[in-house]
This record gives sequence, C-alpha cells and structure tokens, in this order.
Amino acid sequence: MEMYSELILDLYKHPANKGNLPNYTVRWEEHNPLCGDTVAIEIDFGKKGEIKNIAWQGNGCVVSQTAASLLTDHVKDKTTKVAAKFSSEEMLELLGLTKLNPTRLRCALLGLKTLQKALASYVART
Amino acid sequence: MYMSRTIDKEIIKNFTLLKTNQSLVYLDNAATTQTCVAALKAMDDYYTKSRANIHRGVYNLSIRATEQYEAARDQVASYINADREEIIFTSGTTHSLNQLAYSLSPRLSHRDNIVLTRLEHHANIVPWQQMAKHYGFTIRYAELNKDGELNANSFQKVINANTKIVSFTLVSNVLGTVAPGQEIIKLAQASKAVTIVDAAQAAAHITLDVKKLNCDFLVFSGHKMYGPTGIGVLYGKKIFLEEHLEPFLFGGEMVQSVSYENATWAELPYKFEAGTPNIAGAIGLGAAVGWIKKAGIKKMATQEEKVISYAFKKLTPLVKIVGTRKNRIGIISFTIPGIHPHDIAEVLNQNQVCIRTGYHCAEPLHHHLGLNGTARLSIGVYNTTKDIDALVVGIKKVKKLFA
Ligand SMILES: Cc1ncc(COP(=O)(O)O)c(C=O)c1O
Repeated sequence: MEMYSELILDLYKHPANKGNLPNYTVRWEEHNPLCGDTVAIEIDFGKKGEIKNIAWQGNGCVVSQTAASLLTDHVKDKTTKVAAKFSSEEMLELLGLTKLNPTRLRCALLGLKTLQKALASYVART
Repeated sequence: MYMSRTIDKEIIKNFTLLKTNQSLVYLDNAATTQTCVAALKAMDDYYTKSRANIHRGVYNLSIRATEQYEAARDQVASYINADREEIIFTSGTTHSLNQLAYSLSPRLSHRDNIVLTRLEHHANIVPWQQMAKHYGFTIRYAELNKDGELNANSFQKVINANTKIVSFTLVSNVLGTVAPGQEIIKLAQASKAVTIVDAAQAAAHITLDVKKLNCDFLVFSGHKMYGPTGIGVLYGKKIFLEEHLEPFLFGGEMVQSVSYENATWAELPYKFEAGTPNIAGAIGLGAAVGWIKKAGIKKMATQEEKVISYAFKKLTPLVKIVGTRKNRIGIISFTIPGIHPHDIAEVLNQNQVCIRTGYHCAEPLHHHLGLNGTARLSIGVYNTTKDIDALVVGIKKVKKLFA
C-alpha cells in the first residue's frame, strides 16, 4: 500500500470540490479530536432530494483531505438514500487504502462521518 | 559531533527493545520512555521469586515482597529528597492530579481562585475544570512571555489574596521549557496558596529536590523515567498529608481499625494507599530510579543537552520550531508549513523514526499559540546525534514528497 501515491498527493495539492457553495441546504462540520483535522460539507439538494451540488472545506492530513475530495465527487448527483448507504469499506476502496491503522482510519473516515451526519440532518428536517 | 560508539553501547545495553531493534529511531520519550533492564529484572524477580501480597502475611514470601515494595519507596524518596512517609504510590501523574483536585477542591468556594498556566497538560486542567463546576471557584491562567516561557511575572499578575492553589508543570511537554519552580512557589506561598508541581516531564531529566523547591505536592509517572507503566508518585509534605488531606480511596490497607459503624485511618503513607497497590510497578520504578542514580542524572542531562542542541541546529533551517532555544530540555515541537503533522509522522514512520503528532494532550496551548497540531521529537538518555540525522533525512524526504 502506498499512502503517498502520486494520485493521492496530486489530489491533496489540487483538491476537488473544495470551497463554498453560493447556496446550500445543509452544512455540517466534524473534527477529529485527536489531531484536529476538520472537514465541513455543504450540500445543495435538488427537488427530488438528490445531491445537486456539494462542496467541502477542511484542514488536515493527506488522508482526511483526499478522502473528502474523492467522497464528494463520488456522491454528487446521487440520491440521499443511495449516498447514505455508502459504507466505510467503500470509502477505503475509493481511497485505495485498505490496511490503515486505527489512527489513520479515523482520518480516512472523517469525511464520510461528516457526510452521513449532513444527510441525517437533512432527512430529519424533511 | 557523533557520540563515541562505546557510550552508545553502554547505554543501549540497558534497553532491550532498542538493542534488538537497532534501526529503530525512538524519539517519543515525552510520551513514554523505554523501560530499563534494571526495572524489568526487578519486576521479574518479584513475580518469579517474591510474589505475594504485601503488609498482610507473616510468612517469609510476603515479608520479602513487602520489603521490596518499601525499599522502592525509599529509593523514590531519596531520589526527590523526601521522607519515605511522604511518598504515595499512585497509578501515575493523572491519578495523582485527580486525587489532589478531588481532595483539595471541597475547601474552595465561589470567592476563591486557583492558578494554572497556559502550558498545562490536559491532566492538570480537566480535573480542576470539573471541580470548578462543582465548587464554583474560578481558574486563572498564568500567561507566557513572548518567548513562550513562564516566569515569576506571569504568576504575579494572576495570584491574589483569593488564590488557594497554584498548580504548574515544571517542564512543558510541548515546548520543553523549564519553569522557575522555586520562584513561583515562593510567590504562591506569599498568598498562602497550596503549591502543586507537575514533574512528569522533569523526573527523568533534572534533579528534583522537594525540600529546595519547598512545594506542598509534586507528582510524576514511572513510565516517563525508564520505569514501568501504571505506577506513579504523589509526593506531599508530611504536615500537609497529616493534617489537611483526607484519604481519597477507602478500603483495605488504609485503615487502622474498622467497626460496622466507623473506621480510623492508618498512618502515613498507608492511609493514602487503599487496596492492593501496583506492587510490581512500584518495585520496577524503584529499580529505574536506582538505575538513573547510578548512571547519574547530571551526566544524562549533559548528553541530552548535546543531542537537543544538535537537533535545534539541524532543524532550524528545515522546519518552524515552536518557542526559542532558551531554557529548553529534551523536547522540540515543530511544524512544516503546508504539511500536516500526521503526514510528517507517517513518512518518518516509513523510515522507522518515531515521533508524536497532534496536540500532545495540550490542546488549549496549541489553540493559544494558533497551532493546529504540531510534530514533536523528545529525547531520552539513549538518543544520539545519529538519531537526529535520521530524523533530518526523513524530514527532507517529507518536504520533497510535498514539494
Ligand atoms: C506535563 C505532563 N503532565 C501530565 C502527564 C500525564 O501523565 P500520565 O499519562 O502518565 O498520567 C503528562 C504525560 O503525558 C505530561 O507530559
């Protein structure tokens, strides 16, 4: 497993979907108390509850930050229901990092946790 | 600048893990040090030759165990120039500080304040915060000067007639800076405040003398001074322990006489050691202290100073070091702009270099200094300039990777 593959480093230096949305339905922020990594996700939902637009902001290590780029790319245009089913295993596969130690696992899954809470808060509201 | 191989070998002999992993570069000694062979052997001897409970048996085995446990207390007492009744074994610094917070806070009211510092480890903040919620006193924080140091002036500004407790770390676990303990304690005593010294990061590196410091309490952990985990010390001035501090845990060993209605307490230090203590841990700590004494703490400090100076020189052009060179022992925290500390440590790990990253249990200090985590190297007696060279190679690799 190469944690610092060219693909990952490139995505870290040139993140996808990073920034703010002009309009969003929900915003959720999570942080990892151990190392201070943060990921905030903003989602603009469409009329049918699909993820019309998604963006993220954050601070942290290569793992947490590239995971946020990959995750937001992956769930864009998906329905809330489909996106909510995206699992930890799938997240790790997407990252190409399947043998992380417990500390780094928390980094890898920070974005997913943020997304899940954002979706739940949207569902609770509708 | 390289250390001679012989000194190197002489020290390494005492640390099995390092001896058997010669390519490992262990630079996380502020988190925990490696255990010295003397401590391992003493614990092994207890388990294989003297295993029995203490203070309970009339049979020889128990007497031997008791003697070893009490000999460890003597070792520790002489190490910090205390009397043996003043040494209470706990599970570590965190336990000792919680015990003090629980025991001292009930006498405080909403008019009172206690003084901590910006530098404190969570273990010397969170217990007090919890007690403050309950008893209503306020917590004041002594500020750092522009070099990130504590001095008498930092305390003068916050101590007043209502200050009942002053508790501070003698050596910062983030900056490695040494606070002027004696001066601070004098100031606190002028206001009749109880003084507590967190010596967790000092115990293996500087000579501790509780009579000279004249503090009321001093706490530290065995695992940061080449001893085992799960054992620590709460030193208290005899008069304080006798007259002002109530037992914290109740049960066996700490009592003199028990009826169905009431109980009276055993004498010092036993009234503060309820239940079966960490016998092996205490014995191991005693042996570790004995080993440090034999090796000579001043000699160790000289060696460590050499390594930390070398590290400071080598790292200055490569990274952003937090704080200045002044008054610093054993610890350097740093950042590399644009690279997260986790990633620094991860790449170093690929080179078998162990450093700590994150907040180092001092999150408020990091926020206070505007830092979102740092990487930290901390040295022990076995580290050499070669370890720093390995660290530097790793850091150059990180920087190249992220360029
Ligand atoms: C300054 C300081 N105080 C307290 C502690 C807590 O020590 P322990 O975890 O051994 O209880 C530490 C260790 O991390 C420390 O560095």
